[in-house]
Amino acid sequence: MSDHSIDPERAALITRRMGQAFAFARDVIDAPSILDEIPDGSTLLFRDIEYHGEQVRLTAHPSPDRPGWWTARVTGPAQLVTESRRWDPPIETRAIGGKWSSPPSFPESGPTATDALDALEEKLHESDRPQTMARGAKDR
Amino acid sequence: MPPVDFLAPLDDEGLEWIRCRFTTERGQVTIFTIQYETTVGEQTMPVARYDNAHGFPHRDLLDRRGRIIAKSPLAGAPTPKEALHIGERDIVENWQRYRQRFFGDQG
Repeated sequence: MSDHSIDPERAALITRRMGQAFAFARDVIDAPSILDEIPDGSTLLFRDIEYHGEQVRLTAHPSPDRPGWWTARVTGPAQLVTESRRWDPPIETRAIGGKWSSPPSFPESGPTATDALDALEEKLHESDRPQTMARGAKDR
Repeated sequence: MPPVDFLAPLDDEGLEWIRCRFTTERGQVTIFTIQYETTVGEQTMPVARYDNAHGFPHRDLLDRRGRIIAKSPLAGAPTPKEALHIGERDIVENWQRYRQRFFGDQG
């Protein structure tokens, strides 16, 4: 075994993250607006989750407006990225029984990349539950 | 637009990396580079990359001095997205071999 060998567990991690990086690159080609949101020179960490039966790609990067913090955002698929850019963060929506009234794909922040990704994933999973209430129904 | 550059760690030790670089024109990605890098001493060095610079999508394999030792154009004039699919399949499948060659551990 050479000094440059990599154990199988680490190799599997590298292979998985390579796939995520290529998926990110394809997402950027589909939705170049992603480049407007993530500062040049950023370090990126990825996470794949299931959302509404579809694989959704989350990306964390250092927050541009809060030093030391990280921001996580949806970067794929392109349709969800486009939708998330259209929305302002719905500050009041969590008041509806703690549920989200629409897919909350706007970015989340946290003190670490993992925290930011966890927060965004939690929001998406909350909105994915069948009992999620429609905002309009509650407001009427 | 000037290129935008990102780095993604591939391992928890911070020794293996993917670098992504994109250049856009009129809101579309016109030039991309996806580069697998490893660490030599204190420095990260490119091992293999896919890009469509110079007008054609291709793969470069590099040595420890940063010299291109093999340049392979992709057949069939693939779109950037198709080229990324080809690159992903190749690098995900072969990165350990490219890395061994980079470090001179062919055996």
